[in-house]
Amino acid sequence: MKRKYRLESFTFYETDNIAAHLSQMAEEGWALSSVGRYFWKYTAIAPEKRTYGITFFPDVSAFDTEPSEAQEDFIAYCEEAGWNYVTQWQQMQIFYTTKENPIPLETDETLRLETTHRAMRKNYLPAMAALFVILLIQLFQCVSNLQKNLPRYLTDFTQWFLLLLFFVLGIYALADCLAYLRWRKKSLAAVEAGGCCLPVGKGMRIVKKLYFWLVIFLFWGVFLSMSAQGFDKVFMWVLLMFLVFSVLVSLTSYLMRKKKASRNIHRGVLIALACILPIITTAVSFQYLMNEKESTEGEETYTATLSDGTTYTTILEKDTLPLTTADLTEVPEDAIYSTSCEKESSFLAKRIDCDQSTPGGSPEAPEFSYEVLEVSYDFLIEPCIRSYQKPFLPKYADSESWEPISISGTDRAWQFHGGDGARPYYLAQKGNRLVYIHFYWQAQQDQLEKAMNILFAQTL
Amino acid sequence: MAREKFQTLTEQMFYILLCLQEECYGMDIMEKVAAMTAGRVTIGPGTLYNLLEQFQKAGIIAETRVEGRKRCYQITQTGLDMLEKEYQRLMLLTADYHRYKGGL
Repeated sequence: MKRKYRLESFTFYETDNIAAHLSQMAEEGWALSSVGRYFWKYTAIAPEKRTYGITFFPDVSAFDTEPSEAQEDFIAYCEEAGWNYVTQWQQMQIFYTTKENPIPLETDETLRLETTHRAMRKNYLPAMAALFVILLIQLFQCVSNLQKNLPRYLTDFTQWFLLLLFFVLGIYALADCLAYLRWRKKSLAAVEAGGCCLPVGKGMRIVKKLYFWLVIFLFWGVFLSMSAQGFDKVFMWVLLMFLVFSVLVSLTSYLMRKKKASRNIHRGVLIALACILPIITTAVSFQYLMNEKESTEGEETYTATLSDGTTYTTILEKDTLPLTTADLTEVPEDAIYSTSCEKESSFLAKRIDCDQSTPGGSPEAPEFSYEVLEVSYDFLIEPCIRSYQKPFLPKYADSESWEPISISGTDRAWQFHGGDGARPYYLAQKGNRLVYIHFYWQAQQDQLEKAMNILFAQTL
Repeated sequence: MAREKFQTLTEQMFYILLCLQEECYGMDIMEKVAAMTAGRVTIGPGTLYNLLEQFQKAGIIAETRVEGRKRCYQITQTGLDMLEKEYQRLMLLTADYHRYKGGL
């Protein structure tokens, strides 16, 4: 038997449009057989003129594994009136008839509006409200991340794509709820005046289709920007874990339905799974990604022996740095260094983030780290300065400050002061470029000025 | 102004209660009402099911028998009182119509 699967974009309460669509499909030789989590399944039939009827039975739960007695009574009433039961979509019950001028399933508009609203309150509205709250939290998290580390995110668009994604989805969830409430309010007024429920416009459906493609685009943007950072495996792994989670939940639900488990058991098992699975998938993901990182094949390494006899191996990065500790001070001959230099750019800024450090257990030697940021637009300078000067820990904010100092060759410069006095963290600005250096020794003025001159002259 | 539940009855509610003065299967009400009104009033199965549920919860009707999927109902005294009240209201409307037909 030929089958077809379609991704339908109907809103839950646009029953007239769904009925009209199904009638059209039947005339084209396709009859709806079931509504799945994502796709509607159609079976090939001889083209037939069918009238579809949609009604709601609010007492149905997503966790029911078989129709309740009350639902079967309800279906029996409809079948007595000449309607054939097709399937259900959550609380929505779908019937069809081939009779000419059939008695509609619902002949009281007030009651129809009431059962529609009860079904929406049970299922759709809470889901959309929960989605909106979760997205609001994610949005807040993204904005907070951007504020905390603006220089980094001017060149890493992952956070921007995520911010847009959460914003777009949040707006959609809110708009969908508001569209329904608006329709309900207008329909209530129409019914009280003796009329019928208002038809549901195709506006939200068109918006839904547009949002679908926008979300796909933004996900693609997240993937591309994560790939540019070398995190494409992380993205693919997270996607895989999400798919595993979805499949396991669907499979469990399928098994519950096959075993005809009670509503409470079905609900309990799925909730437990929804709590436990994310913990397991996160732990597995973490283990996999740590193993990936810890693989030392083909890398230069340094192995230190700790006092208790255990060994500890560090991978030595060997990136070329524009400024090294040897440019500023004496470095022991036996010094072992790991040097890393990340370069990123976008239309908003260019940035290098460099680090020269000694692995644990190796001979002592001078270490430092620095960041050079060049912004494309002047208005970004002050927010970036504020971001660099944010407190290390909020609870010490009152005892921390950045005090102005003089460094030749710069427009402005500051040094960080903690509760115990001046610390070797420096920030300087020249034109549209900022340099941030953290010395792991007490740098002298001449060393500081030489470092700044080299880094401000560096081509990014 | 919204009709308070069951303070006034819709045509469909009225005829369902009228049917249930005698014990009757729920499913047969659709045909009986159509016959009583010569097809003027039709009750959809979804509407009928929901109204019977609501009437039963409000004590206006009571379930008398269950035979498989078929349930029998009959109106209660509360339901009879409600029907009478609705009839009186309709009579008042009719009287006012005759009194004021053609203008005040």
